[in-house]
Amino acid sequence: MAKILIAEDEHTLNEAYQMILEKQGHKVYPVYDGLEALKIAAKNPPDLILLDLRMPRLSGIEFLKKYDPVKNHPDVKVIIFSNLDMEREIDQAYDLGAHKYILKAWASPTELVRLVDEVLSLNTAASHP
Amino acid sequence: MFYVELPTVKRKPEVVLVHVLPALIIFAILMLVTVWSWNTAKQRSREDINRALNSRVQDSSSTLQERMRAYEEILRAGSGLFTASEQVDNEEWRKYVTIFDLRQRYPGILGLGFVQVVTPQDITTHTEAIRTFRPNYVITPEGLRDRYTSIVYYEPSSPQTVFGYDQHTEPNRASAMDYAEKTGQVSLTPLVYPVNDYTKTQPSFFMYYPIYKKGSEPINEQARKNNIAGFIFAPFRVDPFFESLQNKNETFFAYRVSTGEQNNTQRMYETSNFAKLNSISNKYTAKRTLELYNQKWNIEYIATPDIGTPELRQRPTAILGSGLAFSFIVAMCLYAILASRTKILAYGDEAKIQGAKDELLALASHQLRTPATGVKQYIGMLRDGFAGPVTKEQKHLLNRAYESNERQLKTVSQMLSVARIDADRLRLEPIDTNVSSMLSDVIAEQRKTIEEKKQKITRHIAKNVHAEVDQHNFRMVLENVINNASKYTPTKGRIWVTLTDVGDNLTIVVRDTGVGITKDDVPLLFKKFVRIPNKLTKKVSGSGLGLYLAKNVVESHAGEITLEAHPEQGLVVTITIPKKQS
Repeated sequence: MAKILIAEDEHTLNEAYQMILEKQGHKVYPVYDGLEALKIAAKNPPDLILLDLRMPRLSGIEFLKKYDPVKNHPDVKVIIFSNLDMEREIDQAYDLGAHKYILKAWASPTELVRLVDEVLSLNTAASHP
Repeated sequence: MFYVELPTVKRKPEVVLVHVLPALIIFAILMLVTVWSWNTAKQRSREDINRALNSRVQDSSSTLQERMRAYEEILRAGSGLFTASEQVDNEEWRKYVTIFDLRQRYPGILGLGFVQVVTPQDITTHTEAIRTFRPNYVITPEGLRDRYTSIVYYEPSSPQTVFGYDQHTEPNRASAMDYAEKTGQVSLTPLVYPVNDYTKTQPSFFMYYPIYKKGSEPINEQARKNNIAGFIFAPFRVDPFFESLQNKNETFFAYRVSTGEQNNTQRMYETSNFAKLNSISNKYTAKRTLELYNQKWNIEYIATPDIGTPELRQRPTAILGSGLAFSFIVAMCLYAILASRTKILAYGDEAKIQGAKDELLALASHQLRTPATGVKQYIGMLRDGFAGPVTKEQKHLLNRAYESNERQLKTVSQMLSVARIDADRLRLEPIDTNVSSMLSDVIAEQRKTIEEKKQKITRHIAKNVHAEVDQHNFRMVLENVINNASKYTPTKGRIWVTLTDVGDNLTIVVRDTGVGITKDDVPLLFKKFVRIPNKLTKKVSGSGLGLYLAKNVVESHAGEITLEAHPEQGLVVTITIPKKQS
């Protein structure tokens, strides 16, 4: 099973994702802002990060800039999981090393599980766009 | 039916005056300068033309006077011959005249003659003497007169009828001879005609110089009358005389000569172009009166502007033309600069406003989606058994709640798309797509809904038809069209979906056996927030945005979407798009 960092400032959603993923046997690390995400990621390096874009203290984009998955963490998968539908930010996230972008509103619990499995099974080297 | 038309933000009318008015003012100022320069140049050109005309008139008068003085010298030299010679005979006179080579060197003069003054008592002696070399000589016209002044010599030789003619019998000649006799100076006749010009077609004038008796030196009028012996004379044919003074290349210059005083003038000559030049409107004129011996010659001169310096003459037109062009160019440049500056500012503002609008819309969508996403996750977990098994009835209820929440999420997304379309901010990224697969996927996704209504769907989908489409938006179009077909078709109805490859285009036709539409409703269906009332609208939900979005997305792909009622039953939706986006 994988270690998954859930960076989502909306507590209700964060909790829902924890429940869904834990049910699948994953080890989940929930955080509620970007800065905390940086700390936890350094302390407990995850296999996958479920990253919201709009977060207090450090946004998803700023987190990616500092965390730099392309250069510093090539083995870590990143799913942008946001309800923000702004092309500029989506493009930027891909450029900074995100593997997948999904509008939170479109993913049901079952779809979330499928998506996580799909991204975890990606070959890292080929996955960056 | 409900119908809501969203208010459209009207752009402020462009303040045309902001860039047109300065350009017009600059144009007007430059044109004022141009007109002033043009007027000054015209004035200078007029002055130049008048100067040129006066100069030409002066030349013409001087040439005429010099020519007359040259003729006068010939006559004076003739008197010298009589003074120096004992007896001038016909042969001596011929030799004397031949020396001058009149035709070549003195154009205009016809010949040179001598008139002898004879008293009545000397007529017989005189006639006999002359008849020794001129046998038919006789003084004409006949009749008794105080004295006779008949032509004795004339060279170059003339018809015999000329000789013996008493010139004093013709009043104009007589007055000129009398003037010469009493003053001892050269005199001129007014306009006269030669003796043998019976039809009066050869207007002429005569020049006389008196000769007094040998040894006499008359000092007063009476003495000159008593001692007059004869006259040297020269006839001039008017036309050749003036033509010899003319420069025939001067088509822009003409003159007319008349003799006599104000109320009694007689036209002598006019250049062949005088009438033509006199009729033009922009002519320049001058008048001179030349006092030639006892005669006054009045000369009217006419010139066209061509007499002036070409550069000065053309300058006003050049100034006006170039000034007009310059003013226009400067004004247009100013207009273009101001207009583009205004546009840049406007576009800059518009881009900022649009950017802010986009962000606001995205944030609003984000905020609206988030709570619904929470609902989706929790109901989804229950429905999908994350919290343990649920009964069939519970599952049904959870499904209804889940679907209701999905509709809300879909509406939020559609409203965001509508807002982007209205602001021309819908960004399409067409990529090569297997539309056959996409269409099959969409049908598969909707199969559950279709099966629930026990509808039969028939597919005729050509395999592997590719086209360049924006996958997200085109998929949304297909979902809308197929979802509508199912929604507005009663239970156990039928749906047909066809995809056809037609060369450069592909066509998707979705037909159902639903409620259909009337012809008048077709345009309404493509409007925002419009739903046509029918027996199913109360049962099925909808935002009234699906077809509006579909039409805009299809047209953004350079395609077309049409709706028509099927002749038997239901609706036919046809989508045609080109496979390649230009």
